[in-house]
Amino acid sequence: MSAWEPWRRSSRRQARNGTGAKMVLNLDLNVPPVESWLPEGASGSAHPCVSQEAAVPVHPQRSTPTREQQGVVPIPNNRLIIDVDALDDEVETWNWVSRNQSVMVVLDEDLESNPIQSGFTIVEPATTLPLNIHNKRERIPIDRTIINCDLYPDLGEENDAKRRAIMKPDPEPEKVVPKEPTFTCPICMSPLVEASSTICGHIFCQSCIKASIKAQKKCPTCRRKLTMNNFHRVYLPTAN
Amino acid sequence: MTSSSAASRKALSKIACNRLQKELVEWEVNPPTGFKHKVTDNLQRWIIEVVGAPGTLYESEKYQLQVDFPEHYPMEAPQVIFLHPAPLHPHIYSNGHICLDILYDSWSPAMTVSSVCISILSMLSSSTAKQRPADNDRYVKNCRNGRSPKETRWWFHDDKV
Ligand SMILES: [Zn+2]
Ligand SMILES: [Zn+2]
Repeated sequence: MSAWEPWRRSSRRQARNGTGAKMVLNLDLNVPPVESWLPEGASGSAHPCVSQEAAVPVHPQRSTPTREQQGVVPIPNNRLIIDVDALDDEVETWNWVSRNQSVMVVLDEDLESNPIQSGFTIVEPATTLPLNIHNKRERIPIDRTIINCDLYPDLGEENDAKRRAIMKPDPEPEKVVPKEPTFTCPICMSPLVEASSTICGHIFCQSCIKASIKAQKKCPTCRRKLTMNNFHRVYLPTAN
Repeated sequence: MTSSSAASRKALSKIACNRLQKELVEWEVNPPTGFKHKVTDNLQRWIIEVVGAPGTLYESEKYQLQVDFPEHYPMEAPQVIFLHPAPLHPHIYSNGHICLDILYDSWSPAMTVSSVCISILSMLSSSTAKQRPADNDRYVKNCRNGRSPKETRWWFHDDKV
């Protein structure tokens, strides 16, 4: 490795934006394997190969790092129908897996000069990504039920409780899809309390986003710069 | 930033405690591949074993991470270091300190122990040479008084590992 290079956010950002565009050209534009998982470029922080961005909202429950080594950017044609914008949002909100998978640990690496490594970090085959809430919600309970009941009966009560909390806020036994989705705050990892959205559209508990902005002055999910005025309460509808 | 080693010695806030308990449950349900949390009753310090990923320079090698949580976790980053012996890596110093931006300036409260672990393993996996950082000796000497890596003003490497 070479000598230390001072690390400058501003110059890096420019590099990223430039390379970001370039990356997309090399890929199926309908498939946002890296770039679209990242927040809207406006914040300037989007960069697939920098740990800073990619690792942000990782959620251990959904991490499947086994695929980390697959190292291929998935370019499935069957995703043409997917609304990229919607995907973007949903991925950020729900699909912690993809974030997780794309975690890169390259320190401040320049994508342009080393595109292979950035590819290396992408990981989850797109077809397995839960592309919307409903798919995800249906899938989780099914998988988990199998796991818990048949294969791993010794998983603790705690896990069962966890699973129930995720899939069934209301206790009707034969329901597969929960009536009321439970949204979890990525900061406290508990059900949202006084759900609040940032101007970049990321939702947290009000107290959690307040504390985050106080500590870092940026969005915990996408790193957009935020002030105390840059979030507001949202009132999520009920499902029925 | 807001971090200091002193912070990690203060007891966890209630918020930090709750969050860490959630993380622990999540970890038990779905630990990141290649990692094992060594169970203790100390919520504030996790010792995590990591095994080098297959097909990488560190394949099957075992290392230990020590993760210390500050009072105001997750608003502040955890302190993460390798216990001796630290893997030979261009971004890992012989005293176990890790040059990885998410552990310092680029920390986000939406990150988790699990995500940090995955980042570290990915950093290991992408290494092409088992060697110390060029300034290892100078840096380690500067840390002799037990300085936390969180007190380091890091310049993140701009090379290819
Ligand atoms: Zn919260
Ligand atoms: Zn945001």
